[in-house]
Amino acid sequence: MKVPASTLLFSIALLPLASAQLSESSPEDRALLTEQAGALFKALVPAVKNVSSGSVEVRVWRKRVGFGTVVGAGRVLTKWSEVRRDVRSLSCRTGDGRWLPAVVSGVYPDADLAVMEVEGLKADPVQFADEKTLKLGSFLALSRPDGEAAAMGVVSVLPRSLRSSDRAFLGIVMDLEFKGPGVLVRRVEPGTGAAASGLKAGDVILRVMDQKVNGSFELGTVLQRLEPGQKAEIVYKTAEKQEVANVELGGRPRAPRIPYSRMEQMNSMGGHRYSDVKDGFRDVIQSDMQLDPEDCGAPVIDLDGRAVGIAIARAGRIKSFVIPSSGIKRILAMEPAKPQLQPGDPVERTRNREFEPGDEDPFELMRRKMEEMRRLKEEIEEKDK
Amino acid sequence: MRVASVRPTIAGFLAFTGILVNEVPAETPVQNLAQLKALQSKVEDVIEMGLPATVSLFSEKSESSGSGVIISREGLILTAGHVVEGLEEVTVVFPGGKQARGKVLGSNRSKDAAMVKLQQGEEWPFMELGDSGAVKVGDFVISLGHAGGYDALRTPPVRFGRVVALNPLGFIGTDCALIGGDSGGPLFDLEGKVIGIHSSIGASLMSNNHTGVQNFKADWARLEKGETWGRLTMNPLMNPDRPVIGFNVAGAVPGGVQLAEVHPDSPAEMAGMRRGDVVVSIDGQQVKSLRELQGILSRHEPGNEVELAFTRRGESMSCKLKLARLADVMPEPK
Repeated sequence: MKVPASTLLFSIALLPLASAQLSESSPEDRALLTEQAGALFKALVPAVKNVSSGSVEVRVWRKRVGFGTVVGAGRVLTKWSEVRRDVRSLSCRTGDGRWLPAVVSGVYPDADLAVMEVEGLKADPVQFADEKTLKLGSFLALSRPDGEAAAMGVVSVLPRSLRSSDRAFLGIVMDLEFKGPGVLVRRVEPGTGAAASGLKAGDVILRVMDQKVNGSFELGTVLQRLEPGQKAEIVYKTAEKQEVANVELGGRPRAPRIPYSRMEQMNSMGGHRYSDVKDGFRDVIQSDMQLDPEDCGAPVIDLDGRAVGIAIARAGRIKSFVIPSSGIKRILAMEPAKPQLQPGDPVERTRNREFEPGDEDPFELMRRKMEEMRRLKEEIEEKDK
Repeated sequence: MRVASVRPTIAGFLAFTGILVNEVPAETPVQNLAQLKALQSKVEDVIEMGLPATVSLFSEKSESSGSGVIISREGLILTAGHVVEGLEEVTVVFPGGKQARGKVLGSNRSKDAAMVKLQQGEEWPFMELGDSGAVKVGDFVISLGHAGGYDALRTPPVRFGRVVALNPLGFIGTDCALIGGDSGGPLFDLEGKVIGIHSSIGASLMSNNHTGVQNFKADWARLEKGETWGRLTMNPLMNPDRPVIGFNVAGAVPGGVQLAEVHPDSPAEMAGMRRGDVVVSIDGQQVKSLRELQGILSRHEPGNEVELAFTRRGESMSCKLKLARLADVMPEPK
């Protein structure tokens, strides 16, 4: 299924306030709120402590760029895009204050995770517990090496894939103006399952997989729950008669999601910082935890003190992502890829040129460009005030 | 939620006023893991109940997307005024993907409060209304909304937070971070009662504004009848239709709030009030701060009569006056 371009531009209702907050907290209120948050975080300590020995700070020189989770003897998982900016001067700092040199030995690029070998690290690996016990609204906290919680939040959305290629793709453009019942096909994309099955513009889809569809949202929902490669039985009517087609669903072509410009604008309000790699994960819990980008990599616990995942990204104003235990186990069962730009590694060959260690890594270049753009945007906004 | 830098704090803790919690007794702060778990199970229960009633509102005409919450078995939906601005009908999409038609009823733009009615005569999942007037800073709240519009791959994201500010015009500020598409979605208390409807955000993550349900209750019949009125303003305190007495306040003093300036031709001036007078109470209700004063006024309409008790150089005085519209006392700045 494909959504017409126009719906990708629809306005998303919410009023961004230009300047002042609608309701101001008084100093007394702020003091009360601070004290309350302090008490909540203190109450979390017994749960967080269970896992904190398996949590380390990851630093480039003296600057923390993330946390890490101990997953084997002397072996730590951390966020790849945060440590790759300088893999030659990495170290880990444990809860007991020890500094240990770390070397990236492998990478899981899809999950944006790096495996680090940390010499002299004695901590036991974190035991990951089944995340299936989590419900919407279950409390989550980030376990810091010192036994405190770095952030708390709730399960906002249960685990799901953010990869668009995991979604079933029928190959039609729906007519949103059509009042139903059913869904009017406005166009059929060539080369898709829909085209092969004989569906044509003007046909009205009535049922999918024996389920009645009253409109575009219902059709979209049914399709989103099917997998690419699956066969879907579709009942539709043409101008003359009712037909049945068996359509093989494709995977949605891999394309970057079109950012809603207004969403982006709201996300950037207030200059909050988000992770550079924040989308496309295969299986993540969404949480309202307000992480800083350098909080990623830490183990995430529930109130029973069980490790239920690893924080992987701060993705926007309302969301952070956590790779759940099952995902971590699946990832660790795979062989990691060789990291680029390891000291002593043979020089990697890219399409046009060689790059030397110390040379500009294209990723680093992009990060800098993004940083530059962010600064420019802030300057422009500053001038507008 | 994050811990802010520790600053000197006042003694005592948050009072759970107005919330009946079995596991967490009233007036008991969350201080240990057991209490935190009790709080968690409350939050989980509220979401389980509230999710089916949290709908996405989509307009084919304007291609805009907001949220709403069903508050009666017959399918009455509360949403934000700006979500249905200029619309007569909307597509109502449920978290499971089911869709239905909704008719836009009334809207009070000044309070960003509007109603929609589901057209099919089914029995709809719904949540009960609470009392936004009893809400206190520090109260725990739960927020749902179809952020970014309806998404078949996920349920509307849950956010948990606290009331961080109250606004005299019946708006509630929380640290439940909102974003586009959330507008019109519900803010619940720990009992699962709807206490607010998402309205706007500021730059800070602590600045998420919800119009309190009292703003709906105050004009229920008009909204249900389909009346649309008021003016949408970014700052409701500057709303021209806001009821005012006609003075500026210098600040709180022992016994009440002192007047800095009395506007010419305002109800205050006509009642004989002067600069330096200290307002003690309105309709017998003590006024100890500007915020309290605004709070009392927000429950009134221009034209309502109120009785003011005030002191002048220690001498007790009182007067009755009719509230005016802000725009009639202070013409809008050009």
